[in-house]
Amino acid sequence: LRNRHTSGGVGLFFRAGRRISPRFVNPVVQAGRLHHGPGKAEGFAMTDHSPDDPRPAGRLLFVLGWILAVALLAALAECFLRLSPPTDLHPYLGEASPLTGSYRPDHDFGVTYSSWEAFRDDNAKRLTPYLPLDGGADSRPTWAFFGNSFVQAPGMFGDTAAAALPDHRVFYLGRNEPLFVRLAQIKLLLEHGLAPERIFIELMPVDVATLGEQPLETFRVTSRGALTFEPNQPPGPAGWPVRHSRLGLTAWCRAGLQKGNRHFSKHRLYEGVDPRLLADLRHLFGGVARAARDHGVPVTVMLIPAYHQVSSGASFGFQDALAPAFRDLGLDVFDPRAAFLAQPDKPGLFIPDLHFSARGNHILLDELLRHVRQSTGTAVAREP
Amino acid sequence: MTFTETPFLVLLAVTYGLWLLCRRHYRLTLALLLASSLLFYGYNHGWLLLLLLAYCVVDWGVALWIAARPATAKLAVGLGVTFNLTVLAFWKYVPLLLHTAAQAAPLLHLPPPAVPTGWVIPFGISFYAFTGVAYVVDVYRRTVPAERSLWRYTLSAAFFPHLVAGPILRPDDFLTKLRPGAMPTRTEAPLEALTLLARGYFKKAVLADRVSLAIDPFFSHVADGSTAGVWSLPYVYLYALQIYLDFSAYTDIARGLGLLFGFRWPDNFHLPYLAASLQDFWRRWHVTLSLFLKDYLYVPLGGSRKGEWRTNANLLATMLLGGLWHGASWSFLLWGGLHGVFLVMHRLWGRTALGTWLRGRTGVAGFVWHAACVVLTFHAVCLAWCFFRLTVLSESLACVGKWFVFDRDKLLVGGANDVSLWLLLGLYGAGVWLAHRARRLPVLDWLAAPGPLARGFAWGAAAMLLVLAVLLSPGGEKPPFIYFQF
Repeated sequence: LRNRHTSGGVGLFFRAGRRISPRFVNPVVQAGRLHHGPGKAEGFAMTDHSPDDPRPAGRLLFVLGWILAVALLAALAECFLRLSPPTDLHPYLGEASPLTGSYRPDHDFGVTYSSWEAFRDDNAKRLTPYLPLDGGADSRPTWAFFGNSFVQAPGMFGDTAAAALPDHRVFYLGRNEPLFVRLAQIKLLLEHGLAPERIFIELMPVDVATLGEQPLETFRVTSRGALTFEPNQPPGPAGWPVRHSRLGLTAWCRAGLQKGNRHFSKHRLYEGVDPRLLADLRHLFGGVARAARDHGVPVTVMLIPAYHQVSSGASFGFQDALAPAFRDLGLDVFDPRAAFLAQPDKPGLFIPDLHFSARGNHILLDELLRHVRQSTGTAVAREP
Repeated sequence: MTFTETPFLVLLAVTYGLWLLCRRHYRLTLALLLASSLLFYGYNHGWLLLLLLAYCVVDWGVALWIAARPATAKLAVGLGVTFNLTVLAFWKYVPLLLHTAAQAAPLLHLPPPAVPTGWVIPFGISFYAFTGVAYVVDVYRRTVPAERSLWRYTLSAAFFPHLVAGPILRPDDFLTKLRPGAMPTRTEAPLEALTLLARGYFKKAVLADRVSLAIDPFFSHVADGSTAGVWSLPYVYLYALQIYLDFSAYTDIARGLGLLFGFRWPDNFHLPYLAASLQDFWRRWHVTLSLFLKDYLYVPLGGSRKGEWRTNANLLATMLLGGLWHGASWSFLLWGGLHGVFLVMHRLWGRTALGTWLRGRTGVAGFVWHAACVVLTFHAVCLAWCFFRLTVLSESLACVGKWFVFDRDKLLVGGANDVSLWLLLGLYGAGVWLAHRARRLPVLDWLAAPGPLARGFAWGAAAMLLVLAVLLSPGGEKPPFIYFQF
């Protein structure tokens, strides 16, 4: 028995004991040590033992030892995760989340800024040149643009429009916020004096990825103003470890099972829009349509094509699904796909990070101006 | 492909599964391991396979030449070593030389050469070039016979667990075990294999990557105003821990994978930061590289056989070249040079009367002196790490300057002030310490005694550590292994 316990190496779970007779030590290990080091191997070097022990008591002890180790390490890990949860867990911790923010729950958009002051402070640098929001002495009509980095980033559509339309005051905040926050900003700005001639909301498949995974009903705003999400949980007793253990919740989240809509795949967005996501988008844009109607401002939703749709032949199911839904809400829809697909040099419409090039932005602007001139019947969002 | 990517885990699972099925069929096993290794290396850049295979064919052919024609063996070994080092130098140092020439050209009123952009240094080239040198020289020295089979030699050089970042294997460590009859047909020490894998993944994913997240912002801005007044020493300590954890994690995983397929390889690290001198440090840090440099560079240069000053010059030259081996930057040369200077200083100090007297102290005085030596050695290593981590000289000097000049209210700020990070490192350190001392602690002696309870504990701990490597990792983007770039 002794030989079996020691024949595979040295010592046991931990490092070698000098008391073990050299004749029991694996000669390969001995040779390795003689040649390669001073014999101070790091911890955890151990023997090789089969877990099988022919005696029932031995097997029981083996299982007991196994459980003891797992429980000990799990307890330590649980303590650590309570003290310092990883960043990818923060959005699913509810009130225990260390995240902070300036939001409050909102019926129309899931979240909105806790106050006008919170919004103003958050956007102080970009907002100041636009104050007063109603234009003051500037009599030019305002076109307000909301969207992702295709609008907001330096050199992109916001800058292009501002340079090309000197007879308009072009308003854009220069920040890429989540879709629902962008839409909440519109309502807040309208309520605090922004009086644009027209609002433009740029929308692409990438904008709805977060909402697709976490539907509006999973939104939870903490008392510290942070947006968190109610994680999807397994039903019944299986949900207990996820609800009560950080280790369980981490495992659940890292397996990707926490998402509120597990049928959603952002990789299939070009092909179409998941029904639950479509319902949420109708709800969000319905809120925008109501706010715009209340202030008599027309809204154009710009469903601009993505690189893969223009250059790689990806489907336009996203635009095809949303355009009728938005028109039902009384919103104007601008879909410039034909102009982009007609271009002979499609790669030239994009820069390496797949945003529009200057040429792409100018085509977009030309098409938009043509669309606005033609859409005489959509001065203000209609009642759906 | 790296050890932390999903495609690698799939490749490993498939290879291991097939290996279990075909391990008793020698040719099948050889073909399987070779195919998996080539897929591993060529996964992202297929053209790299040509380079790897060229190395293997040349080294294999040169070794056969040496064995077949002893009269021209010296010429053959010269050509073989020259080929290995020239190709290595071309890929690693051409951009550096061109860049340096471009900087110097205006001073000499010469037109600057074009500096190539997008130059890709084949990953792992330093490791398989050294493996090739070791093989050719060992055949020349007749310490190993020349390998007749090109397939066996190629597998020995390209086997995926050790291919990219070592350990640097000698023919005796691996090649001789690939021969018919010697090729393993069962997993060696499965518990040790699992523990090495678990420990490696835990050290990399949980500890090294978390340290990286904490310190990278500081080192990115070490010379600009955003880090003015910040004490750099905690960050340097953390970097020292990061590079140790990262590199030793890779070695652990490589050794664990080796055991899975039945091969036992030498360890590369023996608690290096407990070294009491630089000489001791290099016996504990990247051991296979140290031994390689000693056997194939320091000793051929004359070693310590040709007088005091020649010994010191040999030490310095060996460390300078060892530094340059690490990468295409003059800062690596500085790093190696610093280690060389420290080694020479240690030699000279050891010959003084005071040094000899202090070394002979025992008891409390001896312990205090040993502890002081450990602290001093660690700080010497940390000083050199500043030149290793920061490849721009002005940034390295700024970092060293911030060891001594800092604001009192910025002793621990930013990532260095992350309590959870220090806690995690402390817990791991305590775990390693307990692992070493279990036998001597009455409460834990049952763990060190042979028995099913201890075995169950060992299996459970290893399995859980592997799970925790996933669950306790910081999340987000995973930094690559540091030594992949070398």
